[in-house]
Amino acid sequence: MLVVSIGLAIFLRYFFLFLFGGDTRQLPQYAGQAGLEFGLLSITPKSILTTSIGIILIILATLWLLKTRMGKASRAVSDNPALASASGIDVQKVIRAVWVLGAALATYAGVIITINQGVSFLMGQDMLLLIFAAVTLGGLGTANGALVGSLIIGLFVQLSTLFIPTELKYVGALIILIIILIIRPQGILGKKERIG
Amino acid sequence: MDFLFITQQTLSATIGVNTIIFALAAIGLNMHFGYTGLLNFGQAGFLAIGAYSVAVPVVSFGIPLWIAFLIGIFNSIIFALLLGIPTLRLRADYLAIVTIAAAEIVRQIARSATFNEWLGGSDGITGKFGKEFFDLNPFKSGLDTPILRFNANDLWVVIVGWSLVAVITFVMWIMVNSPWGRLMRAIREDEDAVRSLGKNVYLYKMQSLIIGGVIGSIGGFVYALSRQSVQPDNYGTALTFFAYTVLILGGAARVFSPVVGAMIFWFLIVFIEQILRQGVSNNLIPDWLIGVNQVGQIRFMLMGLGLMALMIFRPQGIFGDKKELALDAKA
Repeated sequence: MLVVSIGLAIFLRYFFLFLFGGDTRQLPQYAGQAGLEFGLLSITPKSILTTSIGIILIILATLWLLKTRMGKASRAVSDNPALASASGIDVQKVIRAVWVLGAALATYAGVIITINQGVSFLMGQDMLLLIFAAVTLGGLGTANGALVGSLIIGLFVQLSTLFIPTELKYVGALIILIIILIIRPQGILGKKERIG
Repeated sequence: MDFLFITQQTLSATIGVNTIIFALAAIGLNMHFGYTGLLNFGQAGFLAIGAYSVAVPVVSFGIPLWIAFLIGIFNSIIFALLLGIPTLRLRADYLAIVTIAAAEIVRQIARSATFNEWLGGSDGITGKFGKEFFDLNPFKSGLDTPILRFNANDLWVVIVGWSLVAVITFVMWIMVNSPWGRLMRAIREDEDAVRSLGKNVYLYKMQSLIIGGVIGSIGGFVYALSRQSVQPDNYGTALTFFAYTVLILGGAARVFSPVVGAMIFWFLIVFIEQILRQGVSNNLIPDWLIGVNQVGQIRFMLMGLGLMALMIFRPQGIFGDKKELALDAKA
């Protein structure tokens, strides 16, 4: 599955290059939107909308994982597919559902990036490693680990440019990832028994 | 369509420099993934370490090339230790994440302007750092026959490169058929069982990581020498995934499969590219469908599709044995 999805990613990336060309394009209606002032904060209407939809989606995804039968089943499959199958869970169905939902959430992330930074065929590749880093940092297999990890990675990447050259900011984030794995391999929210 | 030209280009590529580089990278991955079951997604990092270790000491510090080779092997051992020490005790996916991250760190540091003075920034290093190697070249002129064409330098690289591939493949064959090799396969199948027999799994995994990494960095030497330049963006994650494609194409856990896989891989790529190029320039393929500049993109699209199809329909590769190791497309 891992290698198949990598193949699909390579195909799609060059398919978009083929169709749209290699430039970064902006959405002109949203490119330079004026910010609304709230005291010390300035925020654009597009950010308010995309962020609130994003927060709603995160809450829904968390609830799905923690409360619904399907969410519990998906965590069981991740822990031990054979045992889950033996206890009557349709493993294939769970895997399908998780892939569809995961892809849908990733697509919404793509929409946010497009509205804020424009669209280009390489935009996913730059993000991919940071996403890996965020998930591992928060703890693989924890419901809100990805959220905590993303907050830390995102803040670290932007704030670290105060101390290190801007072009090395991603390097800093990846080094943090490796250090975290040495000190606390289960991630910030992870449980120890999952690291095997 | 000039079929003779297509044949010449395709056959030259099939046994050419790129095939040697990918064969070496995939032999290293075969050690990691095929025999020991380590998911190393940072093979490009090992190639980059090898390539830069040849170029930087010679160009920036004036160290002789032969010592630079030793530095390269030393560096790749250090890199493997750095990757292995924190992750080899953990579940397999941690090694995958750390290796892919480390390979990107290597590439981004190499292309950063901060270290421009030594590493050459995003332009990389171009220079005559292979002079001592090409001074030994016995060929005064290149090979120019209707079916094969190499210039003098390429011919020398190809001959030395294939000798290296032959030696390394032979050593691999001896290693994997020794008791040591059996132990590696046992680790791949069931780590806990090996541990219960009193073997230090961690140590053996580390040995595998180092050996595969050193073979990868030798691929990096060939990469740097053949082009007389190193460019950081050649060593991106795509290189790792194409090395995996080569390995899976041939069939993992077979000694010869990376070599055959690399030959088939480059045969297909150059053949398709030449056919498309000729088709477009002779107006056999309409311009609105594929432009001249889009041939390269079609090539990558086909590579992605091919990797998917291979994994779904024939995960054991062309020569692989399903009993030995079949990659589970569902896992």
